[in-house]
Amino acid sequence: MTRLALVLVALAVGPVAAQTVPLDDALQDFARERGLRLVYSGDLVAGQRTACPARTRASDRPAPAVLACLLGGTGLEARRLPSGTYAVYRTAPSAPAQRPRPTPPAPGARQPVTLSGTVTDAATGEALIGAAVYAPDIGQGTTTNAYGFYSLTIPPGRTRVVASYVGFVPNDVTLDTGADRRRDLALTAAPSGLGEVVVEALDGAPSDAYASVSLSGEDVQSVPAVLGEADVLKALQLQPGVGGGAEGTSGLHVRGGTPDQTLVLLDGIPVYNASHLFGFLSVFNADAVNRVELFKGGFPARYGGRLSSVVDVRMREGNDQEATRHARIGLLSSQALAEGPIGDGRGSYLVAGRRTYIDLLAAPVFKATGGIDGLTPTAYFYDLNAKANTRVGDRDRLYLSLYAGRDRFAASSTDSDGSLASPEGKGKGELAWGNLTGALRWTRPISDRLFSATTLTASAYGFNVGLDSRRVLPGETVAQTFRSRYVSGIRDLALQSDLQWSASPAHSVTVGGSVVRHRYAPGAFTYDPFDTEVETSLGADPVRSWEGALYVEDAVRLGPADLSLGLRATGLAVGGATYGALEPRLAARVGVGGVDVRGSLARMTQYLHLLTTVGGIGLPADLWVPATARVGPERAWHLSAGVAGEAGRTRWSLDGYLKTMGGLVAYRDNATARADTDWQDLVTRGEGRSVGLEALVEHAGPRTSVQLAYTLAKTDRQFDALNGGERFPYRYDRTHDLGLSVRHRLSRRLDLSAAFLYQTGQAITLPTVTFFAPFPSTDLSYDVLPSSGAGSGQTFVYGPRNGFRLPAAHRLDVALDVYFRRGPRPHALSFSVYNVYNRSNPYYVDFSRETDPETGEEQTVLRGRGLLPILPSVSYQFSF
Amino acid sequence: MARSLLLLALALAACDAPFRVELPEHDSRLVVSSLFAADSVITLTVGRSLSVLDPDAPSSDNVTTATVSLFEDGTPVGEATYVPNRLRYISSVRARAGRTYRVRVEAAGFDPVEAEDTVPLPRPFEVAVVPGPTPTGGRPRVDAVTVRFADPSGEDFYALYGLSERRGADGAINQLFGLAFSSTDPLLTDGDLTGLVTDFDDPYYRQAFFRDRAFDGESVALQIDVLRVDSEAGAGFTERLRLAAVSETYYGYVRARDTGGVSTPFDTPRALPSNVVGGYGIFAAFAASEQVLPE
Repeated sequence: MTRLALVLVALAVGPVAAQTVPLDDALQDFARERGLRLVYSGDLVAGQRTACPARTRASDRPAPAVLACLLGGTGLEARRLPSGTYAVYRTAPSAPAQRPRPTPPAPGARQPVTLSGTVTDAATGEALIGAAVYAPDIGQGTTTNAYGFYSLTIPPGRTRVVASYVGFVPNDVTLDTGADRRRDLALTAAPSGLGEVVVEALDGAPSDAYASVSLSGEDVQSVPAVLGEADVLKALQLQPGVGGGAEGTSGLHVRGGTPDQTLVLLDGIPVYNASHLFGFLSVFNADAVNRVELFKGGFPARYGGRLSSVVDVRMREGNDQEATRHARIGLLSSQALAEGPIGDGRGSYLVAGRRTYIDLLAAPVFKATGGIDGLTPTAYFYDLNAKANTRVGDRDRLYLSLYAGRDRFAASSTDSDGSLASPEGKGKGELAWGNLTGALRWTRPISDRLFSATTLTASAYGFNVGLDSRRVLPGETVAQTFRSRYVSGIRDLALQSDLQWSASPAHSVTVGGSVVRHRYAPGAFTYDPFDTEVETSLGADPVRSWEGALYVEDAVRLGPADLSLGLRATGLAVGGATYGALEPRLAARVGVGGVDVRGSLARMTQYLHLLTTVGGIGLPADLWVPATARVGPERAWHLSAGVAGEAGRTRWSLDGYLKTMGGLVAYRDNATARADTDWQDLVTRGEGRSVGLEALVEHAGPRTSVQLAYTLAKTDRQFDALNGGERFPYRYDRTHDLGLSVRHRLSRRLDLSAAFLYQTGQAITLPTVTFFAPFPSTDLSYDVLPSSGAGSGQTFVYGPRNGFRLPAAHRLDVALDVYFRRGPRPHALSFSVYNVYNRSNPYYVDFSRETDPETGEEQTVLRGRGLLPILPSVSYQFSF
Repeated sequence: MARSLLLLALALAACDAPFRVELPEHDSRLVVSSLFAADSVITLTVGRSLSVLDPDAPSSDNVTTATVSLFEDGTPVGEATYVPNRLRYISSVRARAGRTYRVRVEAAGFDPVEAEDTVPLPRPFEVAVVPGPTPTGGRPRVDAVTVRFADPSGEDFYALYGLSERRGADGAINQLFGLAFSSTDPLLTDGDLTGLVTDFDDPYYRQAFFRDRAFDGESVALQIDVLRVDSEAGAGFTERLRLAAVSETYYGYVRARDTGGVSTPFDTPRALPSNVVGGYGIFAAFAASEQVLPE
């Protein structure tokens, strides 16, 4: 509309002499209209005017072109920083369009100095990850690492340095680097309210030549909430190439990979099951999230141990300026967060917890009504994040991070109905799972250019399926009791150390290593039948392994190209077997005519497997097992290439990928996990491949932001022992996968958001033929034959593996957020509706005998059972 | 149990809708079911297969007009005729250990089918029983039982199971049920697709199917714990332990029927093996040896 108005005005007045406007105003208008991050020093533009025509300023020409127009003749130029921010510099007189090249110092000249420090939120002291730090007068810049640390090499003397970060007012300081080589920079949040979803896909920092997706905590919060809960994994599932499996399942399916092939890190600690409520929500408390980074293709050498992708979640460190309290009350759960300074601001703490309480609300109802068909179910989850950090001396910092979360689903019975209890008895069954992680981290800038981080972590995941029953048989006076527990899990203890050396703003090297002791308990069954003394443990022996890795990453900028060259050497010792692998990681990005051309090639090795049922649906009770002498590791090559650019306020990207996987593990036909059988006897090995094309379009308007993601993909598997050796589709092979999210600011206090997802129906295996198969007795005598418990009954003959498709899955979620203040504290009300039009997306299918309503005849139909109908919710959040 | 709980969760929240799926056309085939023992008369049932979406599926109606021919080591040895009150075809052929039997079934409207299996040789075995401590409160006693036998070289398959029977005054069995036992013996639980046939809702096993990968060609002693019939309530019962040599076909068929299911996301679909050429079902043999457990 603005553009149309300008055109009409231009036509009405005819050709006129070029008019100038204040450069500062023009830049600010342009940045606001485009939704750009544009930073500059006020004294650079003071008194300057621009003759750039209004038509050009309002055009959809690429931002660099418009900025060049705006800055034409001013002696200034704009450059795009690694974080995506545009910075305005003074043009170098001799080579105005080129960055000064480092030259050997003349004899007697003073050496360049290195400025280092951290960039933090001035209000909370939180480290700002990926913040830009640059010296506008000399055209040097860098970004902060995961701890907010930066290192910038600049000439000696007085130098202006600007730090900027999305949503914050830039901090512009002039430093005398002859005496001041360490400087922490604090930024003040811009008074613009909630931010929009920002995808850092175009980051150009040398270490970010990989196509990664970066979301801030606010980005996560801006996606429509589910039952009042913003969720990290739900936000990631809106990205191209990222699928979430079926509703009600956990894990991410990234570029045709299985959930176990995604390395999920919580403050650097692996989380083996990132789901609550069977995948309905993730374990990450969005209120405590600082930043989420997703690598869905090849990933940097510092990451390893998985084939497909990395989700690196960094939780907030806590406010080191003042103690604050925050709470959110929802229909499903409530949560509270407390944070504050430790020791006069030398550190901070953050504690966040949440718990569902539907079990507490429903218990009296079930008690009054006798439950559902005699069963009284209960379900809940809770999680707790606790963090603390403190500075030790001038340079060292210690971080302590803890997470505990647990889900429990149980049902009890006191009558004869159901399988949980025997006649005149009572029984209780439960399925529970949970993660427990902890990390102690020590960071130290060893020098202005060298940063170290050493972390000791422990991680445990486990589940158990339990059954307790008690019965008194007719005529008996003594109760018979039976207790059983089926437990499985994995425990890790790891030490990791990383060194980051900033050789120059255009060159950094990171090296590191890690050693992990895994302890797997692939499944142990114990029971106590009728209080006998029988040995009742099966499969209880754990398996231990040692996994080590060394890596080096070299990120360098060469002219318009960013290169990341990495190598990761890994090894595993388990039992008497050892494995090793060299994993090259290469990524490059080149700016060509305003378009970024990028590509990566990576080799990955995975020394553990997740055994799932044939559907691979990601149940909490799936088994984590190690690579062993009999069942080796999984390996993959991942090739990715793409282009990205922007037009006006719109950014776009198009990426293609090819991934080949070997050594994949699957259950053989007729095999299921049993505690009394070695899992290695139940599995077979094969390979997989995945190829796809991903498109992403983002439009960031002043009030409306839109993101459209589309993936065209094909993923299949080949196992000699399955499906007659023929290739078959992966269960979550989605030919089409579309995600559309929109957020619109209705007013300063109202935000409306919506997300729509469409996916090709998942591939399933179905029986095609059935017959009645009796188990006859051996002869005409009254005898028993070894027929197991199978008995006679309906028998099925299955069609090709994953040879059929469920209907397409789609749903729409909407949310309305209302912001207001009561006193000095912000409050917010969130209304959301999950699955607005009540789409039944099948979770599983079964055959059902039904009467045709029209003909009255009996018929057999295939019925899809959905899990999540329309779910409205409301939540209220406030600080106190 | 996990499946029950998850299904309960689904039942509480599920919404559902029917949908159409294109399944390939299916021409009905004959289904033969026969598990026969050495020294026993060969019997079988004959049914038919249907598409899963067929309104008549599954059909438990027997095909009663079939012609069933039996061959021993390739030589015709007789036919089986349908006996309505037994709902099966009964022959006069008594299977002999070590012999190979073939059945050919023809019926109007169906393609003929054939199947073949060799009766294994029985494996004599011995038992040694160490009585457990006398329980209190009327609980059953648990005895430690050692089962010794010699496994011939080559791949062999076994079933271990027990019977408790009580006979009436006329000598006829009037009560019969399977003997319950447990084991953590790796010889019994180790090996490819072997293991006890278990049900986690039931702590004791009624049968264990296993193969000899861990003890091929060796003399073996398996350790099991047998739940003895209560001394008072069990008066008059005879408890027998059986070791059956089963054919590979038998083993695979039983294993397949024991595992997997249909229509839930938690189950592995069964690839039910069949040695019935042209149709479905099983025609498989076994040979059992027996030892009575001392009281």
